[in-house]
Amino acid sequence: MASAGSGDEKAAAAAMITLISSDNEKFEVTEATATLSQTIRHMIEDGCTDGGVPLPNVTSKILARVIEYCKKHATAAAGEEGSSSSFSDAAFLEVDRAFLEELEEFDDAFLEVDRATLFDLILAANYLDIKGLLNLTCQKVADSVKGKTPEQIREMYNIVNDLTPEEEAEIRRETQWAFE
Amino acid sequence: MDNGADRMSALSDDLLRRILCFVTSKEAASTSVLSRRWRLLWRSSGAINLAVRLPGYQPHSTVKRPGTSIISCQQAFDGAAEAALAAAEAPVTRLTVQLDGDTASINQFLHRDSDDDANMLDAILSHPKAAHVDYLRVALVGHTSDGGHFPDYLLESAGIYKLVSLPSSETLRVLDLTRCDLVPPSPAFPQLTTLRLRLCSFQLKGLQALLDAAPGLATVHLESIFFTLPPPPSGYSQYHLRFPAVTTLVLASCDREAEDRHVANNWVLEIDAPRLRSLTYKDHLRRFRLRSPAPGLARVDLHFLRHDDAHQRYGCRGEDDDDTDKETTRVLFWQFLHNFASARALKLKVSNDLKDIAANGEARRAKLLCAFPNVERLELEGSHRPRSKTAAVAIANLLHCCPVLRDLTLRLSAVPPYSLNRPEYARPFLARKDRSDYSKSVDRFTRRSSETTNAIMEDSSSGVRCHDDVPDIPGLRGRSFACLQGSLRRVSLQFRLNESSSSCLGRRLVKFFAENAVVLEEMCVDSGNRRLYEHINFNVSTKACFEHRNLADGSCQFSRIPNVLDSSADHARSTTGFTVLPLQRR
Repeated sequence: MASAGSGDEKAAAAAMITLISSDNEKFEVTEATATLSQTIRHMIEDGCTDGGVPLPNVTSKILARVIEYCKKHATAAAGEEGSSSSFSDAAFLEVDRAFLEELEEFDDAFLEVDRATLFDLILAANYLDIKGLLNLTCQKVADSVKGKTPEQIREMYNIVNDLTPEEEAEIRRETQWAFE
Repeated sequence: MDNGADRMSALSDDLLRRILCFVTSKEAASTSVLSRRWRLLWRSSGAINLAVRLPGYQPHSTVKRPGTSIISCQQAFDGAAEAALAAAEAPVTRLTVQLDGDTASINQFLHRDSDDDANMLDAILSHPKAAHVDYLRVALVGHTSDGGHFPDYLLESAGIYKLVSLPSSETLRVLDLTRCDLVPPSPAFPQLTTLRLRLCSFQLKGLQALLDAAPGLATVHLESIFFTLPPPPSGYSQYHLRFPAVTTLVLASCDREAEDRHVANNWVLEIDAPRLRSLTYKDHLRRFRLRSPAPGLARVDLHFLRHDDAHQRYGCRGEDDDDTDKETTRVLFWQFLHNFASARALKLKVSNDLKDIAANGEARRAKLLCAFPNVERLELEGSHRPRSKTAAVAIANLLHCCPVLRDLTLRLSAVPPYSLNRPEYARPFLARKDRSDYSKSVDRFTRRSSETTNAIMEDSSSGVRCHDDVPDIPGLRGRSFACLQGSLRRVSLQFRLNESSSSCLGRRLVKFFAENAVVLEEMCVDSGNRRLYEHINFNVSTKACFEHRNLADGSCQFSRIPNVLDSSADHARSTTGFTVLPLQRR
């Protein structure tokens, strides 16, 4: 039961990690939140998180968003890990335990960002190795090109066509089924 | 200026491939002409996504001779599947097939007439390049011919396609099937962690065999599963399912085959999931049992649907039976809740009137109520009749059960959703009662609204004016609730102010919590169109007073005036004030 966790377990679950953004802002998060990032999880396992974890590739603005995502998803993920240690009084600190339906709503709202932020989130999720966030953001970009012609995609994302007309015609012949 | 336009090209090839995983193979292939860099990228994305939207059912053609447009869809689909598989350079790890169309078209599309033609879906799934898929989704999304979604009561035609074999079962991590049955015997799924089944039919034994074949299964969604069965013996029958390693379980609209509609609901669903942490149940209220304790079960989300056919089934019976049904609903509801003593977050959505779950009277409470010693977060959504006092009893019951509640959300609507269809609302007695209630409430409302207007006018001139015209709630008055004394910090209330007296319960609840929740820090209110301050414009029995109003965001600050009679210990626990905010609409 909730109160049965040993003192060690409580200490472990309540441990705080300090994340330091590229512009030197410090964010204090629980270990449960931080370990949604495989990169940080490995650093914790290697015992090199004392004095904070510098994240030179992530600005404070993006890190704040990433942490927001991780906080919301942390308890959901804890369930999948199936660890019993997270089931202790320490969880009392995080009241925001989301239901599945609520997580979906959160994700939808979370993705309401401008395109530059979306790409920053992809890079941060990739660097921090947060699979859920990476898939979520990549899916969002994928949705933006759905139903678009190659010309429209080029224009949308400033992709310079460096193919010669002959090459392009050849590719279109090769993959004719995709243009029918 | 960074508007994100150039950011796509700055991504690594790996990230571009990941993006390409989420578009159809046809769209992915068309990116090959974007530029030199994109030319071959799509081939190594590791994903094959096939999708086809079928034209509507053609009444003049038969299954034996599909219409020409279906034939051309088949040809295009086959061509794309073949080309995409042939072009794949990396091992295919993600394979999705989605057919959209009405049932008849999907049937025409899938079941081809020539016998020598290998079955198309099976041919794709058993393609050598698809032998190591780890994410497989086959969705045969059916619509009725009028374009609406496939209704639940047509479960009988769930699973319009039978998958004979899954060559990739060894490597599958995620299996997601819609209207697609797996023919037993089930292969082994050593890697499977997530299973989602929608509109599938199973023998109970077959589903259990599938679950047992996947020892690492952590997440299971079963939605509109139809259990086909050998006829059970008479009386109640038990349907038992074991989920040994599952931590997240969703059960929605599952039903069973029954030869007799009258006993359609006489069954017990028994779940054995000792490692369960999150349960979502969206279905009719029925007998449900967690066989073994699930000590880690933290999140429970229950949405009880109303029996739409209840009045058809019971309509011919007498009034006594109707009362019995209501008592049955109440008992079933609380028995259902008894399973979740370990829950920390509980979400309840009741399609019945809230009064149907209220346990009124000492004896009934003792018999039905259960304790949720760990619930910190409770959400209750339901409807109540505008003048009903019993809805508040249901809220009181739940507050009573949750001594350490921190965060409470109430979503109330004053109009019962199916009231017009329900025969009991048409009874002359109720009609008479409603009329007298209505005239009384209109009378009260007229008086009240003039008072309120005065108060607001005074308010704008003098800054602060508190008045107290909101009566207490019978079901909530004069009781002590542990959570109000020590733990409840946040209350969110959603109610509608459209009808004359429907404001009552919502307004009274605002007042009740403002007065009685000692450690309240935040109250969020959504009352429809009216402005927030119209409901909190009262004196909260000297414990709180209206301090600051921010018209821009509609928020208000309350501070508590210490009551001289309070003991000092109470003071230490009380917060100095709480904030009132508009509730975020969902």
